Amino acid sequence: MAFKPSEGLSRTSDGQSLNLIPMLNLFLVLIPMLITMVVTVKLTIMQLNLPSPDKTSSAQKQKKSMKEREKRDDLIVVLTNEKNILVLGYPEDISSNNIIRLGKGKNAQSAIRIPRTNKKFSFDMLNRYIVRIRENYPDWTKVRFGSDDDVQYGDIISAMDLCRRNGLSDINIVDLNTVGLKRK
Amino acid sequence: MNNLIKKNIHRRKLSNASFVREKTAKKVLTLNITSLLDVMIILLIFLLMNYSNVPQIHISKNIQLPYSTSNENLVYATRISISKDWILLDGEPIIAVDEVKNRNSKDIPIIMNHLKARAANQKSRGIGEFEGKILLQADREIRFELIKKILYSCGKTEYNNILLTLIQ
Repeated sequence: MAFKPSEGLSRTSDGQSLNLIPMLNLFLVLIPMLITMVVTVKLTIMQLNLPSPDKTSSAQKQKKSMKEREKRDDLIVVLTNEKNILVLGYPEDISSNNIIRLGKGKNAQSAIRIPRTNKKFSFDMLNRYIVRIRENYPDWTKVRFGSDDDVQYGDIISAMDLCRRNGLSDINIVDLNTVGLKRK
Repeated sequence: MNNLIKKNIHRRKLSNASFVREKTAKKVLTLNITSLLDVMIILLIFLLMNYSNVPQIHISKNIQLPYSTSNENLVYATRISISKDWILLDGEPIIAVDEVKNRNSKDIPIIMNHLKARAANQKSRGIGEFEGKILLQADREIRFELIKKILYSCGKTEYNNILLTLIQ
């Protein structure tokens, strides 16, 4: 059975349809403009609060810093040239097989030493320690970072990001000399 | 016979009329842009949803920023960029990295001078409170020694609020 072609097909426009061309023109301007504004790489920031400059000598600074450290309410994470991570100022009840003693005499202090794995910093193990510390001490929010000169900026940011993710959001940089960690 | 001739004339007249109608119909035909418009509306909605009013900052191609999971929004501040070769202040090259490496001081005097001038300028203009913000953009392979020198120079010139620029 053959069908008859629709009558509507042969019907022509009688000029009553909406004129969409001005709208199309507007879109042709708007779309390229918005495409140029689209963010392909999203940037973010991480805040560091440097201590305000004071005129005390470095020896006084070291004394002050050591006194502050006795309060034991912040961690110090140190990244070394050998790709090891040292965690100082950790709570005493966090037991670890990797505890070492740094310094001599009065200035001696213990630290957790996280050895490198595959010639890289072992951030996974650092993460485990941070999680444990945060579980036992949820009030702790301060962490200070120190590093040897040859450590790459990207590695320091990875460590900072890890701490920030675990709630240690008050991030700062520390000079190793002021916490009695003189390194080559 | 006459009837046949009349029929033929009538048929010819009819065919001429349909030809004329077709001709006029072709003149009125326009391009159907409705589907194109639909695509554009969808595209426009998508682009508007992605549009954000976060400030856009130019990052040099020579700088590969480190990654972070932080989701704080970028702010406008004085920019210090550290590529593998140059240290730039608001996009203007200030000193070569090699020159800083060879120097044995804790700070970088030329950067301190520029920052001091900027701080004085900002304070004298008196537009809002001086917040001492620095947007630090450094390549992920830069040694910490250089970063430390920059931070030290910033800290000594009242720029204590360091914002590390990272890729999310």
